[in-house]
Amino acid sequence: MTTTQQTETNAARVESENTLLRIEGLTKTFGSFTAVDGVDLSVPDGELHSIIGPNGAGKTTLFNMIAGSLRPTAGTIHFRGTDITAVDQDERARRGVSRAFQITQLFPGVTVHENLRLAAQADNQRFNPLATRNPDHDERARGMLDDLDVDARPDEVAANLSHGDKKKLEIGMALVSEPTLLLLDEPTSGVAEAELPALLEFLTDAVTDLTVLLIEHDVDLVLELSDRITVLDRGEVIARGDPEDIVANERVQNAYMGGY
Amino acid sequence: MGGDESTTERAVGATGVASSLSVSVAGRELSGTTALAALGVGALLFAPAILANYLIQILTLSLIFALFAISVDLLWGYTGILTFGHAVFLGGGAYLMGTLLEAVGTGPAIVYAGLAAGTVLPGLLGLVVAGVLFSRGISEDYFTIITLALAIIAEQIAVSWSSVTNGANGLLVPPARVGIPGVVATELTGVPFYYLCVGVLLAGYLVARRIVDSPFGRALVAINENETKATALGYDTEKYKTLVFGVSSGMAGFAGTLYVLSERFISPPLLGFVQSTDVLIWVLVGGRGTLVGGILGTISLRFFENTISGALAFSWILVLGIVLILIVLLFPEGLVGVVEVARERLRDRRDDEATDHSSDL
Amino acid sequence: MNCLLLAGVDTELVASLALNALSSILILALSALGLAVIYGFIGVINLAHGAYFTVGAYVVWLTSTELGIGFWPGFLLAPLVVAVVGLLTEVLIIQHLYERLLDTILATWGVALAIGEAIKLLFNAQSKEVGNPLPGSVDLVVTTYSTYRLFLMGVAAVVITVVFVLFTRTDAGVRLRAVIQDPTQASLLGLNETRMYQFSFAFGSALVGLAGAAVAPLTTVEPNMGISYLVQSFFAVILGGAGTLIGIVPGSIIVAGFSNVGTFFISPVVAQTLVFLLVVALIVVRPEGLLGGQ
Repeated sequence: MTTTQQTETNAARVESENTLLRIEGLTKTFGSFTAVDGVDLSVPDGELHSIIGPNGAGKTTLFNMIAGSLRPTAGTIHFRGTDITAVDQDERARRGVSRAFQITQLFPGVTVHENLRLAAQADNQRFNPLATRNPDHDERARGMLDDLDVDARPDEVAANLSHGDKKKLEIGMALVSEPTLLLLDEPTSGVAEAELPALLEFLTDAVTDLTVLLIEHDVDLVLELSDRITVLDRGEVIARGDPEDIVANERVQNAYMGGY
Repeated sequence: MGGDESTTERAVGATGVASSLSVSVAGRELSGTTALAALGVGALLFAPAILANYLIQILTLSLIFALFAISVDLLWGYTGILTFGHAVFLGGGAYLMGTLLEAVGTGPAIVYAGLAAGTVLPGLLGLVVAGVLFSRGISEDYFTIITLALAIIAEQIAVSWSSVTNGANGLLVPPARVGIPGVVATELTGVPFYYLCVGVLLAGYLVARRIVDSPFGRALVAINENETKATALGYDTEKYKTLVFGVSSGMAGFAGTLYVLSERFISPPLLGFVQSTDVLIWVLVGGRGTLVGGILGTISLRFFENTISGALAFSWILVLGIVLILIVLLFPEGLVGVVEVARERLRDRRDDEATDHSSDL
Repeated sequence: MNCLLLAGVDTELVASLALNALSSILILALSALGLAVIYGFIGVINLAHGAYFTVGAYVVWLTSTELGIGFWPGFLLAPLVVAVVGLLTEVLIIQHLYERLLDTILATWGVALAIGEAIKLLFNAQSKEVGNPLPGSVDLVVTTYSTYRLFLMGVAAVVITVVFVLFTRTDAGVRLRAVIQDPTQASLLGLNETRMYQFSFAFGSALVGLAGAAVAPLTTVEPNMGISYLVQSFFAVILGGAGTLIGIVPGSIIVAGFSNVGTFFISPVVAQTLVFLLVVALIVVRPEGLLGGQ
């Protein structure tokens, strides 16, 4: 363990009062391959925390474990002070862990509005087959659609959207359920240069009051947005700190930024 | 890949159809749909004035099977659960009602008990079957194969358990009487029974429509569209799928109880795999994920089966087999889908003409 | 003395019971192997598999009765005829559905209906008999046993072994499996993906055609005879673990072994119901199959 990590962990313990997400010793192995190796991470309320690292560093695997679509081999995940390591993915989502996928996952056959409405509705499950719809969900979907500023009409079917619009919709669906913790996986990947500024403006606006974990390839963007950054390499944390620390860190330069 | 597109197109088409038939955006379209629906209901109401008695009998049974088709469409068209064994629940309801009438009595109280038991017990069986399988995250093709086996086993059991079912010969059921228990009781046959079935089908359709428009039903659509995403958003997909399977099984069981009241006879094929696949063909031909398609498909195919098939050189099942292949290959959205595409083309052409005219001006 | 006699009868009974079970297992394994190639490798849920089985049986019936050229030409011809039927199914239908595999269930069910009805139209719905081409029995010390059944077990065992060796030990077989499991490999290995699918489909069909031909003399040949083999084959494949060829061995032992022995001691229907429940329970406990994945 490096000294930086040691102080980090200590600091996290001290400020556990407002720690939203606390991960300890999280490990995932696939056969003989260790994708994530004993990662500790503690994210306080309101922080925008980026996870960076070269391809295959284990970033998405880490996200999968936090979101609950993958069970860790070892380690624990605490969210708002409770252990959620064994909690199912859907239950975590209802408790406020929301996720925007790198490869957009939409409901392709239904309209843009309905995609958002279905996302808004997901939090309070109704198992009464004869219940009426909640107008509040329509309202929230409409509001989100305004904020998203997609080119497509609300009654356009999601499959027909442009890539940029799909990306926005993916993020909108993660946001409309009013999450506590937002996991953003490569929100800008594949978005055209021209559409980028608008998307970023929307993103920065939308996440001001949120706690965000961000995976992003665009280093400049990460340095600009993040409160703190964790650098992963081959499944392990090799550095952590605020953007200035990371830029100055030699190990990061060697392992990761050297590639640029 | 080209295939990817066609899948999406299909999904788009199916939901497009569903939405335009239910909560259509354009007012003009809605009134058109309402007019069609009124026409359909009107045709059903006036049918006894025009059609011969034996055709009304065929139509009565078709209405009951249409209810069965709706139950299958809820599962397959809306949730994406393909089952090759849904007749088990239809036949289960039928055998419950039939056994009650045959062994206990034929009065109104028994009939009502039969309707209730024939709905609730198959519904519970469906909940158990689906609950066990879905809770273990069984893949969709395993589920389909297990339901197919379930139908085959159920039919064999019905054949061999002759003390209850009278085996392959089938069970003759005495005519039931409806009314107020202890006060009035009358046999319901012919045209009055036909009208009862029209009413029941309409009610069944409205209930199903309500289900698919409810938040619950929309969640089913979400699961069908992208189960990974639905889970990630917070939907407990296993619970939704189990519940809709239970509701659908109950509905199928209810249709089965009506079948007995109508036919007064049950034999093992009613809960076998052939019956289970027939209903899939009805729904497929009519258009899955539309509810109306299931009704149209059932009535039209059964009409052909019972009238035209006699004139065909080939057997009806051969025709069905070929139709099944062709529909899957060429028109995966069924009748309703074809009509919808035609309507859209027509509207596009009209719009084009309109713009042409406006540019002339 | 009495005791010895009883023991003697028992050994004979047990031996013939075991041999019967073994021959059912091998026949099912043959059919399941064909399905494992089609379903396990390509992912096509081929509900026409049972109908292919029936076609195989009808081929030997045709050659040994209608055509009068005897059982053996039919026995050789059946796999070829069914391979052609399978190939046609792939080229005309399945090929267009690889992007929506679940729909292959419906389309192949259409094929099954059409084949079953075509058979009824051509040869009527009555059940047929195929004479035993190897009448007589062999003295196996503990019991005497039908020569044809012994021959059948030998053929099935040899074919199954050859197929395993082909797919797991030869270069061509290993490459074919690699391509089927990861189509992106095709161009890397310089192979034609479409051809591979067609070959696998035809090959899997031939195996079930052989199974149908082999069973014909032991049972009555009728248009719906394949349906129980369809379900049992699927069960055997799922139980063992789709994607592993060797999985059909324990799968077939459980499915065919239990129903065969169960049928003797209880009734066929109760036995099959119990097997169904057992299989579902095993699938629920181990969805990946007995020998499937990690």
